Amino acid sequence: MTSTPVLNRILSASVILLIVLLAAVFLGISTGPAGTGFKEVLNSLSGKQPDDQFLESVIWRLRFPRVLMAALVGAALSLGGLVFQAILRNPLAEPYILGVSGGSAIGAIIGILLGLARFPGVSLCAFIGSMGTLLLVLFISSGRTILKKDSLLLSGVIINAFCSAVIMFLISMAQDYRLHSIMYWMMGDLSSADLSQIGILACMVIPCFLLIFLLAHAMNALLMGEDMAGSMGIHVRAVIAGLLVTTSFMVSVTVCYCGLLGFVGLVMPHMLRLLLGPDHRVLVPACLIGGGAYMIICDMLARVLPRQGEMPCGVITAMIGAPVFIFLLRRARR
Amino acid sequence: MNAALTAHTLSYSFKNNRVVQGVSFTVSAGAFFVVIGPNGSGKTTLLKMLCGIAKPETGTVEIFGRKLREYGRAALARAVALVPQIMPLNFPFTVQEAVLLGRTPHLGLIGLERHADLEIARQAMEFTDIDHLSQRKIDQLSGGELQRVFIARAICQQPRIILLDEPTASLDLSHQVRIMDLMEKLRVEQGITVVLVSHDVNLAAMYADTLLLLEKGHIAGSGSPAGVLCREVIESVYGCPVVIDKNPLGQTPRVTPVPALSSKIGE
Repeated sequence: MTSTPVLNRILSASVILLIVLLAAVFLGISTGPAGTGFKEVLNSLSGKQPDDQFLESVIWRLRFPRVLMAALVGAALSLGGLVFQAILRNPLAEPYILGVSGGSAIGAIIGILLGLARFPGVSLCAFIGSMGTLLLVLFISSGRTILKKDSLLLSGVIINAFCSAVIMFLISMAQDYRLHSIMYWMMGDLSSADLSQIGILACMVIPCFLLIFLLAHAMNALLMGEDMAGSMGIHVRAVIAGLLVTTSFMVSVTVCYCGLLGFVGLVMPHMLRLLLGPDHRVLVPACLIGGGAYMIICDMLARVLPRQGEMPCGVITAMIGAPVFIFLLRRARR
Repeated sequence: MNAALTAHTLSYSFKNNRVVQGVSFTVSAGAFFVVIGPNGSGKTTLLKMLCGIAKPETGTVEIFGRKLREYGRAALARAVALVPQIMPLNFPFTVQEAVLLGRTPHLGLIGLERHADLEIARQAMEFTDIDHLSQRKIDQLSGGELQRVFIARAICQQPRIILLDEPTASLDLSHQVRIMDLMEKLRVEQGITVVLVSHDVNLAAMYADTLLLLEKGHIAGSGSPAGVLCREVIESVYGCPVVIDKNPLGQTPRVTPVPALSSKIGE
């Protein structure tokens, strides 16, 4: 096969970001409240006896699954942002801002209250919730007005407020022991990671990653407008529907496992678009890898920064993401 | 001559409003075919039906003797390319990337271009005289440059018919002529059939070999510019008095609207 210029760009961007990801993984498993263990990680990777048995088991039993979970979640949410930005042709679109995450959370909590298992029951409820809010956002903001861009954000804000209210209502009505960690979950939490759950999550989101990559070229065409994309042989409605459903599914299962992590879909897609240009065949893999690295770092900060215990990871993502959002909003209004 | 495109009794409704009604016509292969008509006469909708983006309510479109519905999406895109009206773009592709998107119907699912595709894009940019802009971002271009990028993208699609929606709207005089010259060159040098929708009756008359005049979704006239542009028809379709004489450059008709203010009319 002759090499293609695009393939080279995909590969070079991915390799560089993979190095960043590996560095993030190394940093993520070496640091934590129980102590820093760069040497332990290196020792056990090279098969030597560890100096500190306890730290070694913390590294591989606690931190490593958590880092894997963070990578998966960061990848899924970053990709979610990228897809929504492309389809809605709005640089500010993101699962959390659009209210899709909030809808998933309502679905998930209803699923938990009904006593369903996290997979497939709760995940399915979350998916229904996310599709519901997505359709609502699209319905509210549809129409050919100049304000379309703003109304999309506005409807997202309203839906988010409504979702929070419903969630709080459900919690106070239920007083259920199953919801004991709900406040953490509302702010996004990766502490429940274990390998079997990560396996299930991976089985659900990785096919979504592949499907979205296959549609990356169609997303490029869609950026030129639906008519132009249609005239180039793209089945516009099928591509949009496929991307929306896939992305909602991906985001909703992520929310089931990790709660509401805000603004994650904003930071990496925009940073990578600045560095790599708007070609989605390059951006999709780049967002997966870069988004994973970003979330690992955020989660590490959430574990390391507090004097005692840890804080929800969503605190960090929101503190980084919200200023980025404001910056993008200013730029878009220029 | 062979028919490149045939429309049989096309109709289209938008919110219970018939915007195109029973329109039939034939475009010969290698023709320069221009659709004119007042705002809201259904020109854009007609164009969208010709390339399969809008589905006609009744009627059929044939492309080179085959029904449009019998084409697959990609096969249709390899036969017919569309240059829609310019719209603002948020995502800054480079000129080269935007032009290369025209290769979409020739590529596989993931859309990985090969060097041959890059060469086709380079030729298309050379043809439209934008090769010096290839690494510029498309949101930094002027209207005339952007229009040429979109035309290059359509050429890159290697179609046999190219459809354009108001390609000269909001361009200055020199760019209007430049775009129309480009279309004529495309027709003569590459044998591509040009179907163009235009507001500009005089520009249309200068370049078209066939005009189709639409009025509220009906055909109000079709044929050579000299045949279609007669005073009675134009006055009734556009609802304003006009004077028609010959273009000083040649034999094509020239339409001059008559202002309502008598002070603006000299002797």
